[in-house]
Amino acid sequence: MDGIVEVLAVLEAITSSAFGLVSQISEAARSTLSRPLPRRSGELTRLDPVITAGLAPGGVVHGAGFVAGVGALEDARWWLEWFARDAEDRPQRLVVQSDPQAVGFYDYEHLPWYAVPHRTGQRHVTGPYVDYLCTDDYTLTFTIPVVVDEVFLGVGGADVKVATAEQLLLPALRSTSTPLAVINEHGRILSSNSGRRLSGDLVSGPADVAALWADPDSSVFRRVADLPLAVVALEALPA
Amino acid sequence: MSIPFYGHATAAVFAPLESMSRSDLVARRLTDAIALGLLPDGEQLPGELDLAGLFRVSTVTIREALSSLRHQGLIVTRRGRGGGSFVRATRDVAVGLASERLASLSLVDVRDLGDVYAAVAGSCAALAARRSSPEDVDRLRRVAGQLASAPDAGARRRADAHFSIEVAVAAQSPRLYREEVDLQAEVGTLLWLALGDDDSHAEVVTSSQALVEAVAGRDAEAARSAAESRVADATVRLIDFKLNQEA
Repeated sequence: MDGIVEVLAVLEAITSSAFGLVSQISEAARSTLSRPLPRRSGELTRLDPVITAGLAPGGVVHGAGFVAGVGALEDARWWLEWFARDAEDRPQRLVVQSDPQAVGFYDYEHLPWYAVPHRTGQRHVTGPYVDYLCTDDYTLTFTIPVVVDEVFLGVGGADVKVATAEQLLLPALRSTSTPLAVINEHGRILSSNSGRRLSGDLVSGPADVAALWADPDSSVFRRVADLPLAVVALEALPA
Repeated sequence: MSIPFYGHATAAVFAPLESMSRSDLVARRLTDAIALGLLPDGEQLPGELDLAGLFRVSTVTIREALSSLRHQGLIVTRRGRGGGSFVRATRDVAVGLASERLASLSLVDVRDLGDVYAAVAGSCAALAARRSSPEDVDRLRRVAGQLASAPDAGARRRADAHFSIEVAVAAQSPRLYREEVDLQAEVGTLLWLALGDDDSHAEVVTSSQALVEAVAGRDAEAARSAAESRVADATVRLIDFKLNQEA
């Protein structure tokens, strides 16, 4: 279908730059956490230079870091070694509420960017979603599980704002007259060239979406590698 | 300079800037955070310089604000090594703060807050019904379950706040989410004066389960109506509580 390949190429560029940084962070986390026990939160400051180097001004990635597996560290049951670019585009360390008794505390154990790589052992893309743990922004999160001696110790991750992804995708989306959408595994739209089906909407019911994903390389649907992101021609779906 | 007439919106734009002093505003912000439990008992506040940086005010302003909090018994300051300002937020202190706030509001203020909260909560729920994936529905169910089994007032308050946040997140709108958070900060403490007992808890649990089922069934109007009645029920209880207190 006209335009699908061009949109797919932009999507692949976004995912490979996000996962490029996440791989570096995850590798650094793996080597830090492979040192002799005990594993303590303070040691994770070794990752900081790797993380902040990936948050260059004007880059695709807005925030990045390592999120410790629940209970993986000796001295903190929950821990985020995470940086995000502030309004002046400088990386700032994220301070989150880690006291489970406080109102602002939310356990990340069940959030998809953590739970899916934990469960599957595979890298994952979460979103678009409202990231209430970190930036309150509409976000895509790219995560890779960190495993040492077959024990899951957390995830390396990077955030890309939906607005940033849209900015990159829009030229390709606008250059075709075919109505196209970039969707995730639930059929949620990341970006589209149709005013009727917007970012955040579900492109169709669960059955239609499952049927699309069952045939990942048709002329109306193309998936990005092993990831839960794809480009779909909207005419392939019921209105 | 001529000002085009846009009705009441213009009046709001050109209203005088906040009449409180900057140190009062900082004190109010910290008091709200203590009342909400965002700054729990025993928590150490950042140093004066850091606070000045965070609020973008001078250290003199911070010192004035801290002195007022100290005077109200909301923080204690210890000198020397390991010193600093620490939050004192016993349950009595939190209830006292919320009662004072409630006493300063008129009934029509409370009703109006409830109206705005119902509008935001209702819209969040309706959008959540349209936009939730099966995964979102599972998450809402799990959080509603935590709310149902929350044993005491504190746990109920946290679980209820979490549930409302999850509904706002499922709406996929960062702006509505922020409105929900701001309203929780403004109304949340007040509501929990009048909620948390077994009777009101049962009502909250029933309405949250109705909301989850409406979202699962992708019924936007039922979801809106469940969310609106959640807020309306709570507002009624709060107004009754206020009337009884003042009687």
